[in-house]
Amino acid sequence: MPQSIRFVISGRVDAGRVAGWLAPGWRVVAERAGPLVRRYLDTFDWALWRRGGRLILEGEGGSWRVRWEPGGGGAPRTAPLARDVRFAAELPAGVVQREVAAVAGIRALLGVGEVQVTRRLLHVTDAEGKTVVRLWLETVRPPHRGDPSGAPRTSLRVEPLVGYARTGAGIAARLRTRPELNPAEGDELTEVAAAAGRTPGDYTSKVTVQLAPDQPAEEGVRRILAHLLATLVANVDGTVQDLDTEFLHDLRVATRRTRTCLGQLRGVLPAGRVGPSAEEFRWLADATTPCRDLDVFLLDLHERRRGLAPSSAAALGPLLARFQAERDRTHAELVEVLESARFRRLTARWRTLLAHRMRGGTEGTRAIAEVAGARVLRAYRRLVRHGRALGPDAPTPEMHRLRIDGKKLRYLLEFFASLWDGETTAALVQELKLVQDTLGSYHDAWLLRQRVLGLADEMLASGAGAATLLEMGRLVADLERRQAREAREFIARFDAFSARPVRIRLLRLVRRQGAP
Amino acid sequence: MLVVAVWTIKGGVGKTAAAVNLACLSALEGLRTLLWDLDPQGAASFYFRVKPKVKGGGGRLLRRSSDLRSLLRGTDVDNLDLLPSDFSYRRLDLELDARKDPAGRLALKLTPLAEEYDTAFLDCPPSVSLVSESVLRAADALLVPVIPTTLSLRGLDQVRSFAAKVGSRSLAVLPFLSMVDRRKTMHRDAVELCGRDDRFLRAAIPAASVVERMGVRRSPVVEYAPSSEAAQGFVALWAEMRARLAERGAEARR
Repeated sequence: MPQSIRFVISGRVDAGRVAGWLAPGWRVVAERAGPLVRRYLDTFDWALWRRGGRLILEGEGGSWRVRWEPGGGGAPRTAPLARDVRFAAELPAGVVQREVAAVAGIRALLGVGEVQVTRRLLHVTDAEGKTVVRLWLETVRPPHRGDPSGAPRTSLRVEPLVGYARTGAGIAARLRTRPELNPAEGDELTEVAAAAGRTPGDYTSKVTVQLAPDQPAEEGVRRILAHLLATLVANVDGTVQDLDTEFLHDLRVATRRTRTCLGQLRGVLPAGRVGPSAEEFRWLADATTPCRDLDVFLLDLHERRRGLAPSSAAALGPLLARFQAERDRTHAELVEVLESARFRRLTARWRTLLAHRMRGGTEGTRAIAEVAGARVLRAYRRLVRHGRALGPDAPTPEMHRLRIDGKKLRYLLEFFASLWDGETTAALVQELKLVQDTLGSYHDAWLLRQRVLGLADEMLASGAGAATLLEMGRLVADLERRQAREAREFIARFDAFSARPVRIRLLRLVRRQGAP
Repeated sequence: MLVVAVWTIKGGVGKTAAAVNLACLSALEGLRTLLWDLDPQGAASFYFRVKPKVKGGGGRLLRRSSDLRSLLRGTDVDNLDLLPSDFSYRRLDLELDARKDPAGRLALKLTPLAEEYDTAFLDCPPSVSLVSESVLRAADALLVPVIPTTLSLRGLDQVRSFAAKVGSRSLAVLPFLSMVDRRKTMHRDAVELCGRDDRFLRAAIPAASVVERMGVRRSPVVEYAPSSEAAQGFVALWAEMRARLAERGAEARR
């Protein structure tokens, strides 16, 4: 597959000079220069960038097209764009949509920034007059943060067509000998992001705190909590603006992780200092629940609708509209919470508290690896004890409690991953995730089923037709089947996770760093 | 990936012109498109200025281990890649015959490309052979260019029965009128006759010098003369073909 190479040009270089550099050997045909706007898009968590992809909207002469550079040497793909794009599903149907959707998922495609370009296309042709390599001679007005005085930069991009990589490499080698040209370091996305005050990869929902095994537990836990606070705060604007459902998801997970950290690592920080904030995080977690539940219902129902025949999909419409209206209302209530003085106070106080050493915790001075290992083992034993007591017919609240036990263990493993062997930790988290996924799907099915059953009378009273009620009945039956399937699957997965080999791996993992 | 074969028993009926222009329209729409020039004459390759040469020839290409990706050539049209012709394709029948499941071989070769392309057009040589059998097995749709003459219409019956016998179960056979000269009474009559046959696509491609100039311009008509009657005919054909296939898909789902 062809590789694109970019050179930065110093001094004045026009199409004629480039053609001169490549002669004899290659013939260059130049098109007219024209203005272009290049707008970079990515998800908030840089999903496309992490995979080496670049999604660009190019505006030229009043029309827009999307350019997708899939990374890994894959050829760029372009498609005309008739409307604004917010989600991958709104891209023109085809490979571009499929590939971007596979990476971005349900996350919104947000503008990172844009550059104004004057560019000229030079075709390098073979003896038949066929273009084998495209050269893009570009003058880019650099994106600026406040200061518009930066001088425009000129660059030359060598882009071989599929099947002509060797010719492209030959041309690049010839151009490399020119003192006016220097291979570009970094890429335009990095510059565009910097102008917007961001760095590619600057956000991830994962816990990435690096800890040293012998550092005091108090210090390590404070660092984890500060990281979680930063994640929580990073997701506030996106949640308020309702850019996509994952901002609220990440905000909620950061809140839950904070609560787990405080609860599972009790004794490390003085209870008297952190107790009031812990109560406030509980309030925040509760405030996020109604809107998140409805997000999950709607994602589930839209997914279901895609697989239905058109008449059944239409019959589901009134139920979706009912949930959407409730979701919009709960979102407005959540926005009030996130814009409240109480929320601002919580984050400000918590930040100040975490900035300074907190004395008085009974375990605060112990090495973090010791504390972490002991708490992880305790969480694992509790999960196994509770899980073994459950069968496939266990009551839903019991199953949900076990799911919470599993989450606590998973969060602990993630908090302290930097203390242990990364590969083993990741494998254990993955195995635990298999159990959690079945419990999650089980619980979501139960919750949605309860809500749909509870809505039957209301839907009837609001004038929903028989088709809608029948579709709701079908949905309830499917959800019941899903719950039963997940309960059976849970038993198999839980047996594997609670078996001796996993226990031994976990023990070895944490004891290597000094856990009792 | 939607695989469209353009084939008929008769030669010189505008088969390659249709494959080249429809592939170009697909690519211009932003769909990743592949055009496989299976005709040893290499006209489609010529139109795109690509040398009709495949390293190792047809024999090597058909090997289970060979990857078609290494043989692809990007055309001057964005999103459109070409698998060039090779003179050795004249013996492709024999090469296929020497392999296990010869009729399924082209489908097998296309499978790894299914995720990378939205549409593949197969421009086939005009003969009834193992190659055409393999093409019909690989295709979802068969576009059959028919010139409005008795012999050509008779040929369509043969195509239909051959496709029913060897093609994939879901193969859609879509004939359309090609090289229509409305000055000729016989052509006008045939247009009227085919207009009453629901199996025919309504779009028709006129006999026009602008299409013949493809050989001089070495580019699809829809690129260099997009507002010409012929180009508009290809646009209508592309739209109608897709609508017909979407309709069939919806019916199958029901």
